[in-house]
Amino acid sequence: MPAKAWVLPDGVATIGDVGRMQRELAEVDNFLGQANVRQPGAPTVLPKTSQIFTELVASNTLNLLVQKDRDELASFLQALRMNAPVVHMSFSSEPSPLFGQKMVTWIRKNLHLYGLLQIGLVPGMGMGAMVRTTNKIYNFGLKDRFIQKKPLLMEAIRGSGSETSQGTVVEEPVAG
Amino acid sequence: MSTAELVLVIGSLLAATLAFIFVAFRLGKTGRSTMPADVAGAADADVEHIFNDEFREELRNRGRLQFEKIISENAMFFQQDLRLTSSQLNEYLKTEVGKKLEAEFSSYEQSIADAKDMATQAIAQTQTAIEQQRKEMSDQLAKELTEEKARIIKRFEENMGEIVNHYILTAIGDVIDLNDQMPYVLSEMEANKESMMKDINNAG
Repeated sequence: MPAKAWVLPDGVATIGDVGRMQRELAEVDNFLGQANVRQPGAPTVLPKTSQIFTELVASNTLNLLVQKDRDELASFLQALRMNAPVVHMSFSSEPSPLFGQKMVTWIRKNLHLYGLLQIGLVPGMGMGAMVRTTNKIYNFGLKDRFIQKKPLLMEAIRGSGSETSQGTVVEEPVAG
Repeated sequence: MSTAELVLVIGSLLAATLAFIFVAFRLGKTGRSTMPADVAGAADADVEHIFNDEFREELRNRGRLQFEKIISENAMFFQQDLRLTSSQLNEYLKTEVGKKLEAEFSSYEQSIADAKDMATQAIAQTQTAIEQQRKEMSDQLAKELTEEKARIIKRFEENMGEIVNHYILTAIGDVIDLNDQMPYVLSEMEANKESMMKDINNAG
């Protein structure tokens, strides 16, 4: 990863976001390159950049008018795309953007400064999530947790069964 | 009088008659051969005078009567003996047949008793075998029921997670969304943070 302490906003969460930042940077670079050779008075079309790109540039105090800054940003984004660790998280349904952003925040706070998130879908998984890092898989699904905690359930069932068999009165709530 | 005695009597009578006839014949022949004719003729006349037809007839009658008497007596003796023999034979037959029948009936009764004992023993053995089989089947059935019960409980326990998960997902799956699950997911990730960090850094 680059020596400079780059700031990666949480909005740049996935590999796709990195790619989009690279495209937007390339459009800006292309525009500025064309502006140098533009005839005075000729119409121009300003490139549209996203808020995340603006935040990325602002948080790293870059001046996109300076070629050097644009090159450094391009190198950073390319290094990010090639080398940043990706954490894959699978859910039973599509999570909200807020959910993804909170996950990214946690990843970058606890695992890696430039960690990226990849969301996947496993419809039959049920509640919880499946997390995959570079070489390991972590099953945080509720189903797996139920299996792990099954002895507790069995103990509770057997305990309640032995109580009732000994004649314990089970009081039912009175309606109303 | 027995048959042998009867035969003996008749035989002796016949022998006496033959002897008498022989003597008479010899006397007649001897008189004719050795005496002169007139003495012989006189002797013949005397013999004829003594043994005239009436005398001879008398002798014949007496002989006949004696013979008939002897025959009658012997016949009577023979009849008595025959009757006695018949009655003794009847008694003997009755006794022997009775004994034989009694022996056969005893044997038959014993056979019946033996067959009854054998049948009783066979029935008792069959009952014992049936009882033993019933007990074995009962034990086997109880054992299989216990094993089946254990299998059902084990299968239920094995599928408990699936059942509870399915129940919860079905019951509240559309109520609890991912945002509500976030604290749980974050807590699990927090618990495995060190492992994840190590894996990421080792790969980097």
